[in-house]
Amino acid sequence: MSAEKLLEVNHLRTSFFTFTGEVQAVRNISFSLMHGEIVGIVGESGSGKSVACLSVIRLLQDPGKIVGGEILFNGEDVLGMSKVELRKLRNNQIGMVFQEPMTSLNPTIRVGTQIVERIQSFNKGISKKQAREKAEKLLEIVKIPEARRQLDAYPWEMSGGMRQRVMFAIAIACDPKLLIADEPTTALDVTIQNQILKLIRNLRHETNASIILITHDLGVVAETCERVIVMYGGMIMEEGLVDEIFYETAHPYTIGLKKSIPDINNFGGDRLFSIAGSPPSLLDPPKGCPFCARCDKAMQVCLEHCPPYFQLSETHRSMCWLLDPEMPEQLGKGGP
Amino acid sequence: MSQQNFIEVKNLKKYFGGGGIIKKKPFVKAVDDISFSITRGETFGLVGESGCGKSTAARTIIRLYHPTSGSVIFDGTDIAKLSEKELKPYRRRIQMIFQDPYASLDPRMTVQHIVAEPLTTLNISARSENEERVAQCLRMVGLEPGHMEKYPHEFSGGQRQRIGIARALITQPDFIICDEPISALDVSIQAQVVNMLQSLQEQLGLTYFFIAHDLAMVKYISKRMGVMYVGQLVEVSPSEELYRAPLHPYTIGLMRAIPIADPRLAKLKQEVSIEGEIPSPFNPPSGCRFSPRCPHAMEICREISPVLKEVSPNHFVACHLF
Amino acid sequence: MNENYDGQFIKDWAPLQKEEKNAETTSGVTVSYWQDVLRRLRQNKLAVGSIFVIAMILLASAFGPMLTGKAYETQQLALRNMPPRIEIQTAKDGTNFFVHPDLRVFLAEENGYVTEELKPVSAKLADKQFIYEYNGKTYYLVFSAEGTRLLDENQEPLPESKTVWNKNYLLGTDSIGRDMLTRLLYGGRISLMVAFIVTICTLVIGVLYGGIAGYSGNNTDIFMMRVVEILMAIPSVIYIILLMVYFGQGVFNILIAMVITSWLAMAQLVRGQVLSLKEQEFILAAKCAGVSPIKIILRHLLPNSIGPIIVFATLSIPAAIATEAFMSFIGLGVRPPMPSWGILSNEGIGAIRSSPYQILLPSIAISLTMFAFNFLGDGLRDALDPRLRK
Repeated sequence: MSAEKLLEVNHLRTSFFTFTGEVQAVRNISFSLMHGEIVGIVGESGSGKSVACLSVIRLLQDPGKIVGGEILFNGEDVLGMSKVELRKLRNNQIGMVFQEPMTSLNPTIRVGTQIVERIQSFNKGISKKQAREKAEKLLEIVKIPEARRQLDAYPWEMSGGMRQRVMFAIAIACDPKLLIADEPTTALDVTIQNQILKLIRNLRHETNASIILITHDLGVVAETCERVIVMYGGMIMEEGLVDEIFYETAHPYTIGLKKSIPDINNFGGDRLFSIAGSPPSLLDPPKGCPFCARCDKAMQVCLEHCPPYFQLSETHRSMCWLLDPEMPEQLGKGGP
Repeated sequence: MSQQNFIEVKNLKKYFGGGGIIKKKPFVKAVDDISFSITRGETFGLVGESGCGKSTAARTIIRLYHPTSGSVIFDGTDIAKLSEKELKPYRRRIQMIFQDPYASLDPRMTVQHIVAEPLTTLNISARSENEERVAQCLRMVGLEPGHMEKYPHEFSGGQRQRIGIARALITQPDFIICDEPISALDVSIQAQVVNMLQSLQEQLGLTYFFIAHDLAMVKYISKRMGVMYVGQLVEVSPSEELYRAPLHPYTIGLMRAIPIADPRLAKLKQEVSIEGEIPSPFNPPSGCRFSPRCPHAMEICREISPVLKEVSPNHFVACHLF
Repeated sequence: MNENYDGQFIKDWAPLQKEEKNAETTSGVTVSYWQDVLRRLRQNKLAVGSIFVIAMILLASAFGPMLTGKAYETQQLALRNMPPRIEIQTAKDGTNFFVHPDLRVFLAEENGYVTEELKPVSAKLADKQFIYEYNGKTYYLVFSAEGTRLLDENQEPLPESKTVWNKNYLLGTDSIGRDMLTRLLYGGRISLMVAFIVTICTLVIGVLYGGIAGYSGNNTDIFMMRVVEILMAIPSVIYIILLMVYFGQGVFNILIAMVITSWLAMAQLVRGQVLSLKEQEFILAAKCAGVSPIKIILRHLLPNSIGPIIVFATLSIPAAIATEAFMSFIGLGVRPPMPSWGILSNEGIGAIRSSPYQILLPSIAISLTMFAFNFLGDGLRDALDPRLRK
């Protein structure tokens, strides 16, 4: 069972200890990732999605600290690893791509050198010539035209889309088991985003890595991911296969998100549906369901008690009192 | 035309550079000859990707930049040619909403001062009335007047954007330019802000010039839309028609590139995407600027830049295919 | 949370009313920018200590000279070169003597108050002796390689001796008998006054010049900055020296000379700040509202740049102190007998072997003040822009 799972996260809690108090960015999330699948984590700002992934590979900066939980990567306990083991893990098995390609690449070093540096970090014995050949191959995999010439280019000579491709090249250099992409296309134009998403889909076939794609855009998720995790207020609201999330939506927040996007097929003269209010404060999180204050189906129990996960299918679960079989019938169908 | 055009932009150009004491710097043709018009009370949308010049166009229209050439006719007067002093009475009728809620409010001023600033500089009302008018505007955008004494950093992104909108409303303008007002906001907040903009339009009879790169949102809010590419308008038409039957190859590619929040439809979508990179405005391609990336490019496209012409009623395209 | 769910509580399925939801909140704590800055500054112990030291120095310089009861220019040649700590020797009959290293003998009181000099009656230089008479007793002042000793009539050392603080002149006197303490405090007044006035003028001129240059952009900015850069090409000390040679010594003159040269760096700093803020959207919004350029600079650009400006101003105070001290030291600053720390240093150099305190005191004063302002400036920099830390 655990040998099939690449990543297993159990009851992870992460907080930031600032002078105003403890900001609970991630409040008890559990999920797992199999080999070779693409999972999308959807959430808005403050949902905790980025912090969760940084916690998983222990890249948190002060004043952030992992407060509780368990993280197993390929069966090994990540939280118990020493600095050396962690570095080995990140170097050899994990690749990360961030949102802003300009600040992720060193502007004073040529692109080829940066890739070679990465290759040499996990493959100490390789010669410079071989590393350069590998770098060129990587650039070809990410579809950068004139790969050999671009090895000598500086990051500022490249456009945003090309820089992001270079980031992907660096990330897959070590042939990682896990690739984490944190909002890789948010800063890019729509046509370039399209190209990068195509690249991500291809990478999965070419490298057999598992990919975690963090985004706030439901469209990106629908086009690229197989499974979806929806986060809000530091917790996982709903998790399921992409078809289940979009066609059998089981949480008011997910429904609200879907409805907020204007349907390009339809033309409404009416108002867009919008979720009232703003995300909750993580300094003083609500003790009940985090979405309670903005939910149009909220009940008294939602305010007082945080709901458990209700399993809708083997792959689909949602954290909502509306799914509780004990709920009286007259309040509507047993679901959001 | 039964309704007179409220705003008419004709052959507007904005070039940067060209200065320099020793050697002349090259020109950046940020906005290169665009023309369109907006009728009173309607919303005109403008889309395009980075470097297309839509923000520059907006800022040139509101005279934050001095136009290189062309005219902007607002309610009968060409404001492109007016001096700063002559422009002052128009400043209260045209206002702007900005993109970044974190940079569009002065972090050192209270909300009250921020929202009241246009009143004080344009001498619209007496100082004693200011507070009441600020309170009124804040209520209109759904914020508590009691928040007046707070500083911007105490508010969330969506709330800050609403403060920016209140500031734009306080002079009771006729025309508001919205420069990507929702791009920096979360999805659930975007819908709130868009809804609010629409109700304000109905309540106050506003005319909007709405710029964004989110095609779906612009199509939803605008009656007519324009598509810009590297400083030029390539297509202008009513929004519904633009979606139903886009004519310009770039518009077609753009429509196809939008991710659809529907997994089955996404799979059905053709895997046709526009290859290549967006050209830099420093060195645009000769002839039609889209020709290097266009699947239908012909010889003439590389030589002569196509002009915007009416291909079907109220639908303009700049393409040699037509 | 979830794992505690065991179905053991009663679930209330009643729908929630809108008021109970409290969906629209702002962040709880209203902390203004300056409160945040003060909090961070208070955490920096070195900066807090420096503020305290600076306050002490300012108070002492402002009120000290009046409290010592002596003027900075009165000379008492008889009591010249008196150190702050003196050794009082008491004879059998209770007379207190103070033997000065310059081979002078003074009468004193037991607590350290020196009254008058005792002149020798005769001298036997071959035996290395001076002979004194007082109150009917004879005393011998014997000097040799081992030291100077006062012996009583029996050629024996006096019974008691102790080292006390000089009560008359708490920090001693200089080479022409002026009170070091009063001169030091008054000198502090001069040095600090020069430093503050120069800094304030630098602030005003530099901010206006840099603000206008930065905001105007284009050719105006290019021209204004080239002027600054050309002026900066020559070290400011050379300018000041030339100006002072032309003007002559004097407090007012050194003020003018320093102001003329010190605003350049501030102008560059302010211009940089203005350039980076100029394209921010809140400035554009102000322009849309029709705010005039001067008001934009004063109301929006400067308040948002004030952090680095304050830090720079605080750190230029010690530089100004050092410059004034140096100029006075080489004789091109303040005109004597008006003291400044530089002048005191100049006067103390000559006596560095015999009376080291005369140069030590102004040096310590300068160092202490400069350290304090530097630490305060560093603390302010950290407090105003936490991104620069770590």
